[in-house]
Amino acid sequence: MIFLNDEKPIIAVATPTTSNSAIGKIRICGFSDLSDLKSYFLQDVTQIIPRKASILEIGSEGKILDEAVCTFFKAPNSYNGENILELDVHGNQLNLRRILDFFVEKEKIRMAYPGEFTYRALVNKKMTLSQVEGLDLLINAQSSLAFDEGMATLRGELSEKYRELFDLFLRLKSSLELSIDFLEDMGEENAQKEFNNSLFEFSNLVNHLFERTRSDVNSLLTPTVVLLGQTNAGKSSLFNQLLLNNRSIVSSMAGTTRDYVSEPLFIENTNFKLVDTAGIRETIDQIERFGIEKALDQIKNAFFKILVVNPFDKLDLNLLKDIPVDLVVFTHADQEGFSTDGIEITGNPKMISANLGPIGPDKGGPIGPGMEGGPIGPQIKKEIIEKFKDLAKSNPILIERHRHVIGEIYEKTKGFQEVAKVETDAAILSHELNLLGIKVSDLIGIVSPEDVLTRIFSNFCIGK
Amino acid sequence: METKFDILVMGGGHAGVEAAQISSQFGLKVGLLSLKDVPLASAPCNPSIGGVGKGQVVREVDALGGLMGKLADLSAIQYRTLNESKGHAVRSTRVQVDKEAYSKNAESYLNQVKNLTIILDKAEKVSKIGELFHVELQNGETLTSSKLVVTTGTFLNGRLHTGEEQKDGGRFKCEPSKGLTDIFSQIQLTPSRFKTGTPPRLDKDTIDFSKLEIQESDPHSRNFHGLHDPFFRNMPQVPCHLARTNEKTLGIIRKNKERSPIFNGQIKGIGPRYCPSIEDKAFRYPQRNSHHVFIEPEGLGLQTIYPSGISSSLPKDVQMDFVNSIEGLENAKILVYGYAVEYDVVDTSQLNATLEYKDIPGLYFAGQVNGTSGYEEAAGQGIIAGINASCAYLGKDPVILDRNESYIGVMVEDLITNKRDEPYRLFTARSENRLFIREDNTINRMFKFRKSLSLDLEIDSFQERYIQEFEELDKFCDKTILKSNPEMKKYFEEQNFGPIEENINLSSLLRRSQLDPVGTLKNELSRLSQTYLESVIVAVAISKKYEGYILRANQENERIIRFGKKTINWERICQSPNISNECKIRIKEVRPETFGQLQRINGLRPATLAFVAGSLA
Repeated sequence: MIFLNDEKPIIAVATPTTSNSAIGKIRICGFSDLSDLKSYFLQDVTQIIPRKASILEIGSEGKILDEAVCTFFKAPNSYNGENILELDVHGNQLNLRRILDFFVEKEKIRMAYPGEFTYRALVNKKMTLSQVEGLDLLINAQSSLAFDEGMATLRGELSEKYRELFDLFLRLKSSLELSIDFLEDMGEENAQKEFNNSLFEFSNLVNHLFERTRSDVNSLLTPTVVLLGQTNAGKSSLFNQLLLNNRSIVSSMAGTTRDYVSEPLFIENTNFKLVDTAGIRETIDQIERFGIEKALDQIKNAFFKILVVNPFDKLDLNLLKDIPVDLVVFTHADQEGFSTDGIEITGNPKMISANLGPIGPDKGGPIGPGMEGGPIGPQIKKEIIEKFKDLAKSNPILIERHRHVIGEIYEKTKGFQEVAKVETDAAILSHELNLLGIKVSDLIGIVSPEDVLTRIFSNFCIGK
Repeated sequence: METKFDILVMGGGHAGVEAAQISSQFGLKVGLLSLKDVPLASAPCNPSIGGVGKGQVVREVDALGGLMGKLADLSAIQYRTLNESKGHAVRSTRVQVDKEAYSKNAESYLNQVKNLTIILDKAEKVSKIGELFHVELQNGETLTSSKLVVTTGTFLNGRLHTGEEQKDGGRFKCEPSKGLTDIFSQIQLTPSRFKTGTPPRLDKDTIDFSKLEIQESDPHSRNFHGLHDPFFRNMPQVPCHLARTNEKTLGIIRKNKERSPIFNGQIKGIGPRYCPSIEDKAFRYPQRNSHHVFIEPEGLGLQTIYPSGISSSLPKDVQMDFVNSIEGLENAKILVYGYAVEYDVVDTSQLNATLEYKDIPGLYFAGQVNGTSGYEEAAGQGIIAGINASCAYLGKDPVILDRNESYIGVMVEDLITNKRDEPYRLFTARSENRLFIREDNTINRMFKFRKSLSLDLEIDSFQERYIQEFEELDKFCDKTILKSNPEMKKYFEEQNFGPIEENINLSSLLRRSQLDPVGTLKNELSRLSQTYLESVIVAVAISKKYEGYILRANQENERIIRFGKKTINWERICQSPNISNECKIRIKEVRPETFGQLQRINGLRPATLAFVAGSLA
């Protein structure tokens, strides 16, 4: 299969490896007996009782690497069905590195591949394919939406909907068989009615599931809020205003932000990525142009687009004309002669006028008829989270493989409906239905191809 | 009397007759033991042969050299082609036969076979001593044989029920075979007995046919036997009729629930879901009040009518009442009352693909004793058991049919892979390969098996000729180009062949979905003055039509089939701690050798399959 099974136990770090922390967790699994690990500890590791935390010193010949709180999970009562030993050690990155080296240097234990622990859970049928995907989603979730779906899938709840799909498919298949093997008992009319009804129900559910895959996944998993607009319209000021700190370089000279900068923006349990793009304008400067291209890239896939416009500086609006935006902020609203007349924005998004002057919570509030005073940040954040919630209401399906297979089922179902209208040969109809059935069983993982696994597991980080 | 045999067949029903006949073709000494009062190859239930899925089996038996096709053709009094409008792949032939003629024809055929001895007696005791089977008869003699094929049908501890009356028997007026203990005490049976039922027989003179819908015999339905002219009728043809039960009928049945042996617990055997008694229909489908009743004659010289669809074991007075409530049958007289039979069934998971009992070599089981229902299913098993018993005797390789190539293959594999919990009957739905397993291409599919028997009979030279002509015609269709010139365009228009914008070959024309491939090919061949066997033309035409679909289906199935063929070590699988006990029990019972067989075991968890699949790759 995809992972080398050389019968060696595997080891990995389960906690993040990018920064120091108080505790780091290391897992070892796949050893047949605790006695296999005797040489790595100063105390007798075979004495520890399953699921009872014990303190052991990692090391050999008097040299101590670290003191670890060890928990032993005896097969099959462990995360992945094999023997697992968990070591809680000091979470200093250098320490973790040193400890890993110690375990693998004798080459009796090796480093795990990304996702290998969970792969073994799948192989040992501790988890289904869908649950593994749910786990992936859960771990990487940036929003409570994604997290909730990941949790639901891990618990097997999403599978219910798919099971219903499978049952309806079975009903459809049976109705076809009915008209072949039992025509004399059923009668032509009844058989046709049953077939039509079951096809109707099945395609309804398929359509419903397909609708739920339509939303742009990227924008839901790691939703980006992007600020776009002319050079020096005030994007960076707005950026800081939203984050309430002095993050990017603000200067009154055109063309300062070369690329894009981003910061996490947390609104109501959801992690957005706030992106400040380079000012869009025609330019001959290579580097600046490169920055503008990258900016346009970000803008294309963004979940929420805020157009920042300085009405006094009407240059280069053309480049932005065809990009539909969610919100427009007119800056410099405190200046003499401020007017938003004559500025056309496609799609008629919500518009706010603001003065983004000197930074501070009491400055930079929205100005204009109907606008309350106060900082502009919360207003904009409200708009952003409203849109997200709206999208979340449609109950989107986020797991990539599911979206892909559901799309295929949708296409095949539409095709089948067309065929069913004209095809009178029952065997051919049955054959087409079988092809559809193969796709349906792809979804609930009963027939699980190996490439799928490879695809999933390469998205996992080490130690899981 | 001859008492020493190479092959002894126990039971003269459809399975037994096929087993005995095919074994005799090998030149071996064959014995056929049958009860005295029972006609050979009798039709104790529906006097018909063929049907959906079953018509295909009759032809497969015939192509292997069996008897059923011939007998059906000689005794058929009404022909029908079922599923005619549903496409060639699911078309099935069905004939009503004259019961008496069928058995008489069987007897006369078998009596002419020099190396086949028919013994009319009852077996008291069967045992295996050394390498030989010993069968002690009621008359005191003992038969011995190297191979024993058991085809006792419903006679194994059979018990008849008609209402409150019960008596021992395997069939009406026939004694049960109670005494078979010795070797049979070692045979594993299914945990529950099975049940089969039959309707009352009516007096044909007391039926008002004018009130019923008529179904004439179809002159276009094709005979079963390969060498017979497809449309020749040996017997005078009679129509069948269609009656319907009504609310009154169902009302009477529902009122008498406690008197029904099925529903009051008197019968514990399990009946087939797909062939329910009228009581089953009444109680399990309370919203339905009208069912089809096919009024079928049992024979030209017989007084009895077989009303198909109202099998019953209700008491006699209730049967009389509900029959008379049916329109057209108000004055119908019952000549024989309906009854249900409960019988023991062999656990077929103990058989291997040759139908040999795994733990007792040389012993074979075929037919209804294996828990199947239908004469065709019995015949299919009988011929397989007979062929394999003979091959084993002669030291030849076994003949094992693949489920992707024949309905017999589907049936045998289904039987040996699972414990039966209800009587097994073939449906086209059981095959994953309906596009390929058809009536028209039976010889193409069975040829290699028949050829492997190396028997040089009339049927073999016929099949050689058929295959040769098939290959020729197949090439001819590919090579013949229809040029897109003005004459051809005009011709196409006249014939309604559709447009012809560029040159196409004959094969492409046959594939056009709006055309009937058979008619089109016949047309073109006569226009081009080409002569081929009629059955070859039909087979080539239909094969061309489905070619593309079959290719596609095979591509999709290939991965699955390839995977299914991978061998597994079932013992090692059962040692794994990751398989549940329940799954282990099921696997140990079946002892599957390939992944495909494992897949077909009922009740295995998908996770178990995934686990084995993972370790296979």
